[in-house]
Amino acid sequence: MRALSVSSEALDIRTRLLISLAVSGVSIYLSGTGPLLALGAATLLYVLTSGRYKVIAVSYLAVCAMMAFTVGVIVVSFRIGEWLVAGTAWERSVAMLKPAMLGNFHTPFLRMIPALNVLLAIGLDFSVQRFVGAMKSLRLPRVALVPLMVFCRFVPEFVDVIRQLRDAVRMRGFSLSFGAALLHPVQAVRLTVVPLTVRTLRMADHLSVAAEMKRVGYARRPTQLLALRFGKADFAALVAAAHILAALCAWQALIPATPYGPRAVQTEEAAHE
Amino acid sequence: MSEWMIRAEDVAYRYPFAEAPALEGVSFRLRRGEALLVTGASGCGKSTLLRLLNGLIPNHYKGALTGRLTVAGERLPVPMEALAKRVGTVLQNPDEQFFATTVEEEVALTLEWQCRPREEIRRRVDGALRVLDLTDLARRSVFTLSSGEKQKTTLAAILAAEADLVVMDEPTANLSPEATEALARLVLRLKRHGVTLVIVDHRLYWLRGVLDRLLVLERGRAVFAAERMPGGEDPLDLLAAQPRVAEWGLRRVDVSRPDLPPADTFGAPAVEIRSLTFRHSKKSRLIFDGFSANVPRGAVTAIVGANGAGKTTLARLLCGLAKPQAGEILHEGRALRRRDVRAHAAFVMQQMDIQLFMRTVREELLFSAPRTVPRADREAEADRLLGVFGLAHLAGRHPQSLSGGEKQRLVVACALMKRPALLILDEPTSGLDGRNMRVIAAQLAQFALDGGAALLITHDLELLELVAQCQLRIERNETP
Repeated sequence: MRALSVSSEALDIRTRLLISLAVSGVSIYLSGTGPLLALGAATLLYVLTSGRYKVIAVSYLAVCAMMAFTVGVIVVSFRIGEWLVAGTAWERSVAMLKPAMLGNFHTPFLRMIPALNVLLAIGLDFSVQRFVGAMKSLRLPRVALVPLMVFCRFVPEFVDVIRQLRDAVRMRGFSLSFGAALLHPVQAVRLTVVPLTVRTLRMADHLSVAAEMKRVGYARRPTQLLALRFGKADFAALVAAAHILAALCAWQALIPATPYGPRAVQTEEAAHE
Repeated sequence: MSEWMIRAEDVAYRYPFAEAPALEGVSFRLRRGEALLVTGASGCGKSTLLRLLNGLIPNHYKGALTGRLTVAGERLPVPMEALAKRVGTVLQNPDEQFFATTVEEEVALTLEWQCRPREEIRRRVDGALRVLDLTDLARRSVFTLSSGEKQKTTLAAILAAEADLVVMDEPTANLSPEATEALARLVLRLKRHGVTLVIVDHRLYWLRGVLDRLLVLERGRAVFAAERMPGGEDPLDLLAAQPRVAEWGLRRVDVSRPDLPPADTFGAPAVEIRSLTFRHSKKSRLIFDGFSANVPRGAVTAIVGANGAGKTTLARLLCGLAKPQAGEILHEGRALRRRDVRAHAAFVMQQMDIQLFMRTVREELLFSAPRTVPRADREAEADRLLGVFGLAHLAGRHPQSLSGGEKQRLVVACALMKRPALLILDEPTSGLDGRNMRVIAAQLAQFALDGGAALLITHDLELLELVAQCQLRIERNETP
């Protein structure tokens, strides 16, 4: 299975972004359980090519936990609601709502799974270097490109500064934990705001000096030494994605409407008319 | 074309709102293909001169410039753009000037923003990588390079841009002795390619046989200049013969690597490390695999090892900032809780800005003292340390407003204020002049004499020679 990850890494970040946009759009259009399950399965296969099975399993467990919690809250709420309105004029209304809410609660989660899969596929294969390269190859204007480059350079360094600050504070006998911040808010501000602000300003000054010296931002459209190109794998992935998504949309259009989806409501309204 | 790359005549410069000029009446000349060292105590105006040469003054930093300064045929002041093509700059910390994420992209960056044709960029980048032996690292992330490799990447970018003049701001401050020697060879190679170099540095020994000229600044004025004559003495020898070298606050010209005995056999242990196993995460490299050692009481121990061997990681483990996966660390024969270890240890980290929290220098020292010490004793100790470290006149200043050298002395003073049993210092003298380096060395020696255990992580050979008594060697563990 690990060999699959080789083909996955060959995909351009722009291909992944395009696939995730298309999948998100189609998952909003789909409402049938069958098409949504099929989309979930197809995108699961796509993310499995990363070879990061453990991370994927943990993500799925988190979604399942979220789903169980939501279902629990909905069921308990309805039971309480039914008990409260028993014998009143509202009883019939609540009874009418019950199948709509409890019968269709899984649809948002079925929509969430394809989105989770495509986002995982991007996240598990993300590299700052390739992302910046992709943005450069999109010929972004310098007002967007230079801040993006600075941001990508700044984030890893800032994370390192926070780690060092945490060490420095602990060596002084204090903590930067959430609990400590709640108990001693003034002290937490003193221990974090001043050092972080000074360090950030210094980093910003160094970066601006470096940019001046390297003439970054002086040209409207800089040359790009390593231009990213769509490869065969990208082409194949995009064609496969287009076919699968088109087939799922066709399926959604042909199958009978889901009992409580938007098209079902429309059908009921038409019947009344 | 003039034979002179730089001509400075009576140059003076004052920063906005500054009481005294940063430079005054400075005159010197430098031929194409020569190397000049500018040195002097902290605050003498070295960095200001460097900023004038690369055009940051007056384009980025404003102020009043007088006199006549010509760089690469351009009479200053000129727009930054005019000088950026001709002058390359190497900062003390190369991380601060990287924009790209891989070696190759960083080397190509300046040329890309000059909108050069792709084929030309490819040719020049490949050539520069070849000259500096970086071809194998071309696709490596700059975040994973050693300090020496980062310096080489910066130099490759300058070489690819075909700069005529390279200015270096304390380029050896973060380099190991081996990387420093490699840099000296690199400077010679650049000179052979016709590049002119201006090097601003406190460390002098590595430039023997490299320099053509030397300039010593004191309070913004040139107090000594030397030049290598054909068949004549090295400018560093001419400097060493000057009676006022110590008065100028300079470091020594000749430094050797001290031969230190192993820490295990040096004396009674203050800290015992037993079968230590540690890695940062499950997927990362095993840094320590059954590592054992002793840190002696009443001595200054140097932690020695190659870059990436785990020197700073060991310091974090000894201070209770990280937890080993296996093994134990005994302090005075007892296994303490990590919180208790932190109470008895002090750790001076490399990054100073994030170790200063209070509103004044004096408050910072008082904040560092254990709460159990009576207030009067704390204040007396703070005043003593302010005097010892030459910070008394800055007692009311905000710590973040101090210069780099002053901050370094303050964080060491804060560590001593804690009265620790174990004191660990990570590169406490990088970028410090000779005078301030000797102040820190003297305080470290006193700390050891008083019975404390001091651990020193440093590439500063002069500091090691002055104060280290034994060594704890860490070999890089190659076990995956």
